[in-house]
Amino acid sequence: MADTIEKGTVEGAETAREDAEGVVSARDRFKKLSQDVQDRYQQVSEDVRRGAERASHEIRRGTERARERYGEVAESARERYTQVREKSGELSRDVTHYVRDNPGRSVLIAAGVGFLVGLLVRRGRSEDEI
Amino acid sequence: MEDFVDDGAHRPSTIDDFLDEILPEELEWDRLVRSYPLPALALAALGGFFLGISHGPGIVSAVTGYMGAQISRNVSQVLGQDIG
Repeated sequence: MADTIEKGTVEGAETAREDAEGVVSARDRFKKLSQDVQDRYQQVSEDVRRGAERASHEIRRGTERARERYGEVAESARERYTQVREKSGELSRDVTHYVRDNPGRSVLIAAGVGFLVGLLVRRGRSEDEI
Repeated sequence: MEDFVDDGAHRPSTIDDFLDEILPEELEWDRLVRSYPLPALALAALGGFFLGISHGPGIVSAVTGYMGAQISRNVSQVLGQDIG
């Protein structure tokens, strides 16, 4: 009887020890898993932060480039506009001088050009009607 | 628009005489054209345009016929002189 009780006690103690070891092992695994998750989370956070920084940097650089390009284009357009205005002013002066020197010829040339354009328009209209 | 001052340097040409003939006498087209050159050109072009649209083919055929008649008359004169 005593042997049986002792044997049972020993077996119980052994089972309890094994269970305790299992709990310790599970706790260690849980800790390791938790650590892994934290490491992963930090890694992902770091990657996201770097990506955001890189994107922000690229956006800033792109904006700077666009601003420079806009400035260049605006300056070029302003120069072109000034040139065209000067050229058209010169052309207008030349035409005015020519007309004042040759009024009859200028009027006839203008009327002739208008006449030809009108003739072409009339022809185009009659072709459309056909 | 600045008013043109005739300095007397302009000499009337055949075209000016032609325009004097076809335009009304009281219209001083010469002075108007020289005073307002660009509007005058625009007006002339507009007039020509409407003339081309309304009577273009008739005017072209009339001018062509006149030129053909002139050419044939000149050729006849030349040939007549050669034959004579």
